Amino acid sequence: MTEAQEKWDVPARLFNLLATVIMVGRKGISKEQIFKVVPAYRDDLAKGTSEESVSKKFERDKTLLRENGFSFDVNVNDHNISLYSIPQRDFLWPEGTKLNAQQLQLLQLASKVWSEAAVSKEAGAAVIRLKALGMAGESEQVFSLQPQIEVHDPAFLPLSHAIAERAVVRFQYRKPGQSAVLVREVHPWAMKNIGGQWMLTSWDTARESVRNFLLKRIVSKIEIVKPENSSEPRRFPAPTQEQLETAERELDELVKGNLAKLEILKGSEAWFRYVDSESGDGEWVTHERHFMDLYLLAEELREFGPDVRVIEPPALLEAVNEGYRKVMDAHA
Amino acid sequence: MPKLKGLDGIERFNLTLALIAYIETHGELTVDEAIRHFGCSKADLDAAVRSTNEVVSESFASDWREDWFAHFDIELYEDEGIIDLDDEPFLTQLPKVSPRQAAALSTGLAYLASMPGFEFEAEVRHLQELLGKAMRMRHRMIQVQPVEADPDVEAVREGILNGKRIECDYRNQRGERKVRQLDPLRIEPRPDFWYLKAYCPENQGVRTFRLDRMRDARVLDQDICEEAKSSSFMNDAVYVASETDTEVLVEVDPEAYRLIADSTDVKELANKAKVSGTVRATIRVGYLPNIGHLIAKYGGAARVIEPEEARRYVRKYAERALGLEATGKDESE
Repeated sequence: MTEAQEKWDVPARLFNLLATVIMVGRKGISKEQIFKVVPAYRDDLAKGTSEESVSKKFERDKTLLRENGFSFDVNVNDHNISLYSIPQRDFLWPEGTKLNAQQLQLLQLASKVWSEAAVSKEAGAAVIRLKALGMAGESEQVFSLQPQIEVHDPAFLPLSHAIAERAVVRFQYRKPGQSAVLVREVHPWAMKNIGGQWMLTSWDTARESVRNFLLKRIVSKIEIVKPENSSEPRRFPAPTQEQLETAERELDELVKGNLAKLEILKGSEAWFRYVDSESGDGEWVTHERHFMDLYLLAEELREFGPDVRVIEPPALLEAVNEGYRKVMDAHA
Repeated sequence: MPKLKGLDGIERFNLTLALIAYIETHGELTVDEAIRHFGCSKADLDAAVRSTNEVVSESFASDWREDWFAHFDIELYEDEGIIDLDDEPFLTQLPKVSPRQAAALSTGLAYLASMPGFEFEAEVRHLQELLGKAMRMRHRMIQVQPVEADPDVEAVREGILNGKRIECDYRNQRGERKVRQLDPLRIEPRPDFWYLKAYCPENQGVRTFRLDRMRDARVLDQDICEEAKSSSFMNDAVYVASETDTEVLVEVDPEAYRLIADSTDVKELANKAKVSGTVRATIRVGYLPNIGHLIAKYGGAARVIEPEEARRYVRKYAERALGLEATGKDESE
């Protein structure tokens, strides 16, 4: 590690860049001026680091500041030079905003529910800042639950970024029951966790309709779509409230229309999971449940082996058994 | 409570901004107050205060800028343990958090509020309004639909809140069913299952239990034992490895990443994957016959590579499920 790197670590660099851009106000400041006055960049250039490398560092720092809530407005002046400024809207909390100890503790808990380290860390950094709105010395209350939101899908983080940036994305998707992989290009609107599964609600540009995708079936990296000769993502318009409500209603209707009829062996793990009452004299208990996705339910039911029998629909029975046959083939 | 590990660079940057905004609103604060309130260590605080001042002095050296910078009073900090600014700060208002940070917090809050027995609705409403303004979006970017609470959760919660032992009908991972007494310590709801960390008097240790494997939980008129009360350390992991576990090498497609998520960094492995995200990893299995349902669940998207014994368990599990094995029981169990 060089002397300059030790001296101008990330927080010092960000703090200095932020202060510089804020203080010039709305008129903005060029990259050339920033490189002259922000010591981290100035020192790098003075010791011979190429301007390209320093520019890359500047871009990384800008991204970090953006990720921490500072928009960088860019205006081009009469000499065709880009001028950076940070808008006043980045500071507009409602007047007199204060948080009590209980609210701060809730924010802390909210940041900790994420099992995904990157999300938890990002939220945790925000909580440190929000603590400025509280009062030191107030006591905390104890909360007995420690819920966790699990994120195992590599697509989750890039998609959450794309949703926030309203960036068009492309990925490869494997439909259940099929080995072929299809490329999908979508406007990512929102993500929802249903029963432990993450699902993306989006506008499919090729099919010109709303489509839901399970993140676990995305088999490629998430590609940010950029127009030709551009380094900026292609943006999409924010979905309307009506579009989102329609998407949610259609999903609800889909679930209501999908009903599975099962028979469950009494005393089995499935019986513990699904059946609340002790009713019924026989060895098997009938159980009905609505489902969103036939293949997801088939996956769930295969956990119980012969202790669950699928009565209806036949397609569910076939999906369950097809899965078992593939397992046998793979372990022959 | 202070963090055990130091803050990273971004957290320290946020700590600096928070300290300036806090002092602007409330005035000076002591080092002890800052450590308690911001959950940082003294070293974090030193770094936040001192590194900023180094930036200040360097920046002043430039003839371009005006006299304007935020400046912590180092003498006051070092001599009297008080944090204050000795100059006009460049920030007079607290900067907002990013839309993504707000979305992560907002989703977390909504998830907390969906828990049965949650009592802080008014606080959460206030926070959601505040975060909504930071999100600059009209809709929720990320939502979590909570899993339906298990009927036994109320009795378990009552046991935790009153420090009482509970009794329940429990079916363990080996399929053995019996009435158990437990000293409940903490409920850990997750989107797929609800877990209970409890002290088990029979095994004399803290264990993890799944609420969906529990029935007829009831609170006993008996306080939890001293060992349970002193169980301050609880491993956050749901599955705690044991020396008697069997290591099983598996190959999984993206549809089955969940299988390896507790034992490996899926993102890192997936990044290196060449063909359609298929990766290999080693998982630990406490009771090897269970490998059957763990693998078969994924319908071919997860495959055991070795040991052969584990492959046999999986094959027999699938055969039994399809009714192809007459005995109905694996003789090797």
